[in-house]
Amino acid sequence: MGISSILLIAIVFVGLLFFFSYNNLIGKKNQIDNAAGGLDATLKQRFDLIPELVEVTKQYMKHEETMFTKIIELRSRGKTTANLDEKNHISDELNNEIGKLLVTVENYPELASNQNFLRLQDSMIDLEKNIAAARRFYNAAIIDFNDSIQMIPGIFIAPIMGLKARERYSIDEFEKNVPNTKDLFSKK
Amino acid sequence: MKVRDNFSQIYLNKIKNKLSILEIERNKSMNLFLISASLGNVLLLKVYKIMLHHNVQYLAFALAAFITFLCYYFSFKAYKKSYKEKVIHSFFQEILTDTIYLPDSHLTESEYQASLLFQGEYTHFSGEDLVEGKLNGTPIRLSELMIKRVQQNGKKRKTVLVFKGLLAIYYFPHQYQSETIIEPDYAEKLLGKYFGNLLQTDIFGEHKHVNLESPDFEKEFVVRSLDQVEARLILTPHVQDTLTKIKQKNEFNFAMSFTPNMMAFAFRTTKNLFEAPTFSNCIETKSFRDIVDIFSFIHDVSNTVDSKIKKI
Repeated sequence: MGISSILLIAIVFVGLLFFFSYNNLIGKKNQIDNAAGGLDATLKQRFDLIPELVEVTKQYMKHEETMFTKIIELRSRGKTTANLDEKNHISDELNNEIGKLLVTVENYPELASNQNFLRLQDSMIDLEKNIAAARRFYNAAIIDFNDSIQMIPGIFIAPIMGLKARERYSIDEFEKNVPNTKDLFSKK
Repeated sequence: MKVRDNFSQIYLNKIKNKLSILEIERNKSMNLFLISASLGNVLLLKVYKIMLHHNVQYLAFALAAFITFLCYYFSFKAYKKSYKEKVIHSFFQEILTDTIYLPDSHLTESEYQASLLFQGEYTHFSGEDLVEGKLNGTPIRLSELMIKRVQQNGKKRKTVLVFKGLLAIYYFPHQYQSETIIEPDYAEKLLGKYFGNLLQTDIFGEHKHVNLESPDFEKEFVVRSLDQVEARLILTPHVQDTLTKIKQKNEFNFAMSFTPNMMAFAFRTTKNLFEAPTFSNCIETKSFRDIVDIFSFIHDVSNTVDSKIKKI
């Protein structure tokens, strides 16, 4: 086998490696976008539920205006921002405010047994679970992508494609210390 | 484990007495078999001289085997039937409600295919010991299955075992409409995380590999799903931990799946779990212990998942 043959085999090998690595990285990048899209859609669903929650609780909790104002403001910000990271952050703040609202609901037994409120409770719990699962998928997609561009051969190909490591979603410090909405709903 | 203790209690309280009585029946059957087989073969010896004279003495061995088999079959027939009625049926009546036991029936091919577990092309589908009932108020059907593929290549015939073991379908009307399959992970155990994952990535299959957070869970299981988010809704960190603990306490080779409106459990085994022991002690039979352990496992897992997944 001459040198030219060896060179040819080496070129073909490198070409194939580049081909498969390129496709692999594109696939993983698209997976992140897919996960982000799913998470975004779930967060939107949660923001869309807020007006109904406010409407039902306002009828009974006429003196809690400040709480409702804050919730409505957060909801508006969440709906208008296009940035997923900001949306996540706002969602966590909203979680916090809804948690405070629910603690207050305990003082209104009529509200706590209202059918609409109970239906909203179920929807909120389901959405919380969906958001948690969507975030886990988003993080898994990012970890997978980051691993690929930091390991061989991706570490050589990623700079050529302009791909950089992405940041995972992490819970804000303050959110770690506030009660979980799902737990609060579950206690009812 | 609380549920396993309950099952052990059921075994001790209700079934052990029946096994003790059956052990007497087994001994009688064994004596009948030994006597009949001995008599049969002694008679054969008398005929052997004639066979020798006609140069067909090689047939004697085939005849001896046939006589022994016939004696075995008829000696133990009543005992085996009794075992299934008094032990197997009674056990399931204790742990399920509305129990029906059909020793000669099995799950349907469409149920096996719908389970998505241990699938493969097959030419022969058979089984036995169908049990139907309700566990925690939810319908469950299970049976032993033997599924194989016979390949004929000219004069050569090759049999490939696709699945032999127990398949249980838990008709659980849950809210998730995707398909998630949880199978034992051999690749990661043998080759490590990187190469194991590489091997498990099926780029052409519909069901995509799901990478989950718990490293212990990932070592024991490989998960594939049509929907990455739904798979994570079912397999929360708590469920992962529970399944890992259950797997580490048991030696079963099993797989699970969540498909629309049901959960399926498949336990691969070469043993006939529901068959009466003939040459070993009835009371200490490992097969029955295996059934108890398998059912404890199904009960534990379905309880864990029941509490996390909403029924519709």
